[in-house]
Amino acid sequence: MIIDGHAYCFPPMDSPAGYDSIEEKMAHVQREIGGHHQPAWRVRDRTPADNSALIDPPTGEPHSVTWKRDLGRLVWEYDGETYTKQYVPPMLYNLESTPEMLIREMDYAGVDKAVLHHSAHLGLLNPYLRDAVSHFPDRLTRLIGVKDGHTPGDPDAAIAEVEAEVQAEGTCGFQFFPKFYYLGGHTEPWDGGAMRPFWDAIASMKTPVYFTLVGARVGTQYSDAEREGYLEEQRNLMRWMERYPDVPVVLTHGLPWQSYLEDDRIVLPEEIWEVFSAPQCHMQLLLTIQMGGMWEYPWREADPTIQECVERIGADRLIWGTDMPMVARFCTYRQALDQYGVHCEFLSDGERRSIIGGTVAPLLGISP
Amino acid sequence: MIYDGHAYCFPDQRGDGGFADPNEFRRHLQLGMAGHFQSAWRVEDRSPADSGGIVDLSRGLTFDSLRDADFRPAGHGRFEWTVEGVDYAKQVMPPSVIDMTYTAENLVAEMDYAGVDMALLHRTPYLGISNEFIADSVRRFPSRLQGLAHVEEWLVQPEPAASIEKVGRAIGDLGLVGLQFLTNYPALYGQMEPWDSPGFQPFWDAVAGLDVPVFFTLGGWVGKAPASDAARLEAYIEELRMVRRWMERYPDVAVVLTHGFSWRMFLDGDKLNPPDEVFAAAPVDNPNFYLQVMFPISLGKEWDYPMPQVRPTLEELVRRIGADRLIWGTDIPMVMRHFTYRQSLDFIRLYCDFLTTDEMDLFLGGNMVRLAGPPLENR
Repeated sequence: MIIDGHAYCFPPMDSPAGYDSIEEKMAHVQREIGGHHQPAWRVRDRTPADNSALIDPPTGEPHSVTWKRDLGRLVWEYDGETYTKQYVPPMLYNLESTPEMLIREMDYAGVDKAVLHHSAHLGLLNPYLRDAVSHFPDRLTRLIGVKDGHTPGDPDAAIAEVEAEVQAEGTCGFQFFPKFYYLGGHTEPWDGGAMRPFWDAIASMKTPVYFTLVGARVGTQYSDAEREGYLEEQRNLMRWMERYPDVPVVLTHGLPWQSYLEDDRIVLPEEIWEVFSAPQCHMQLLLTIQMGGMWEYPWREADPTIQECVERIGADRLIWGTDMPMVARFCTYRQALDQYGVHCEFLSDGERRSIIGGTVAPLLGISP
Repeated sequence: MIYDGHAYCFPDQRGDGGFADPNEFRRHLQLGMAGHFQSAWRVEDRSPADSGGIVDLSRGLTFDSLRDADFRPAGHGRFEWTVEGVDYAKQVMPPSVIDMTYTAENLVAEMDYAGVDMALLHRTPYLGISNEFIADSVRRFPSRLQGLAHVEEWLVQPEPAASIEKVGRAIGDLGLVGLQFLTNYPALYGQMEPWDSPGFQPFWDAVAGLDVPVFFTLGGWVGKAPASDAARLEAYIEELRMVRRWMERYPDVAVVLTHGFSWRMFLDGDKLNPPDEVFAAAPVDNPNFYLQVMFPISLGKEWDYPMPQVRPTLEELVRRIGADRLIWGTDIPMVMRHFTYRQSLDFIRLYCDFLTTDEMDLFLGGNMVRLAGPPLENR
């Protein structure tokens, strides 16, 4: 069985998508797109632009912009000019990723099942994903998300939301974003303190927890501060895993590959592997979505890194994921699969099978 | 200037496609999908299937051989049909063609992202026959799009005056920049005469007077398949000779062979092996002859990006025809079932270093600019 361990369905990006107002939603969109590495351009002449048309570089504060649609893509007006950035691929003509579209893509690429993820800029997605999975229960499964920044203030509400979603079925884990925890104004590590009652409850549910550590520290991208911040997040997770050793853990997106790029190689520090000394810790392999703007399919430059991951962690704890549909800005869905199914010649057949489905299957309750 | 010499916009495939009778459009669509080399599968378990449910190929690829199987454009670029309660599917368009339509807005957004400046809209009856639809697409983006006219090929002989008027209006009034003629369509309507036979001459004489290029899409064969690969090749070569004869009759008309040569016919393991007879038959020595190069749409199912297998063939085309008469095209949006749009460009731009900068510029855009003339907004 081929399982995409990391995919998305979401309603139109310029819709409230579960938020109380469109303004609240678009603030999340602006923060995400304004910090993203995809190139921006001025619409009228396709002249390259940058993120300073969305976020003020010195302060990191968002500009006052007006969001619109143009040619089916999201554009914004700032200082009399209209800009855009293809954060989602142009094929999302309605700025949405419906379950029907994902299923058709899966059919064509030969993917049997996909794990639907969350991100705040795509919406408060529990109801949307619940509905999506109910239509394709054999093909889709979903993670549960909450407003991570609100959890310390009202852990009981967060626990109740997670419990309700578990009872609604179609779930396979809980996804936690330290980034949104910190954006909620919290400075203490998220593995303890006011979060403890929440984590105790989550651990008792015996559901895997998916941690999105990449990008946790806003405004530090591709810097020494990001690297140090990331390792600090890993230390938080190691403490968390010591406390909850029976809970399967998945690191979403893998590691912050771009941040460790030296010339054309990813050079990872020894310390970054320590988190995998915990046998419960799995890692998603999503190199394409981070590196696809720099490297060409089949991304041979990534091979040494993938090989190192296999040697250090083991294919039985590595999970192929795509970030579909976003990855389609760089490659077809089939190419994203073929990276591990066809290329990466150093992988044995067994390792390939593990990475493209076998590893994640037990986490979904499926016999590998 | 990067100019995609072969692109599409089309209306909702669930509509009438510009035909007076929607059922006729549906027959074209069913025939087009039935004959397409993309794989079919059973929807329930995605096991491989074939197109036998919608066409009886033992009777040939004709309207009469179509089977009643509730053939339908099902959405997301996919066509479905039902045989004895079992649903089948074929993905000829990419899954992103959600509503079975591809608008100028969709295309220009892809062009922006891939870095393509202009595109030429092509025609095929199963994507709709309305010149007005194409002209409207061009009008919405006059600096980015140009379009080809189409006249129902099967009406040219029985209704020459109306056909001449239609192509004249498409060029003169609607601003389209050339004519695309698909040579196998008259035979689908029982007209077995060659398309350069006397019955077509009034039409061709009129087209020649319009001072626009003619884009020929060769059919190879219609009806029952030739008995052997050799017979199929001979039929194809004969049609290339027909193009040569046509160009001798109309020496001032630029001719473009769409899709390039019939590459799938020349698949030979891990390479293409077009026989010398192809180059001898085609008017490659005629300075008004142009060849489109669009390997990914023909071979993307077999060979993945960046498709090194085609480079020797492209070198051969440059040597035999010249980079000043080769036209890069993609077949977007259909090509996106194999490559991204950018990959469709980059497999040439980044990997064919045997082309000089000047040759690359001509191939990727300069030739098309010269051939199509100024965009609508500059006329």
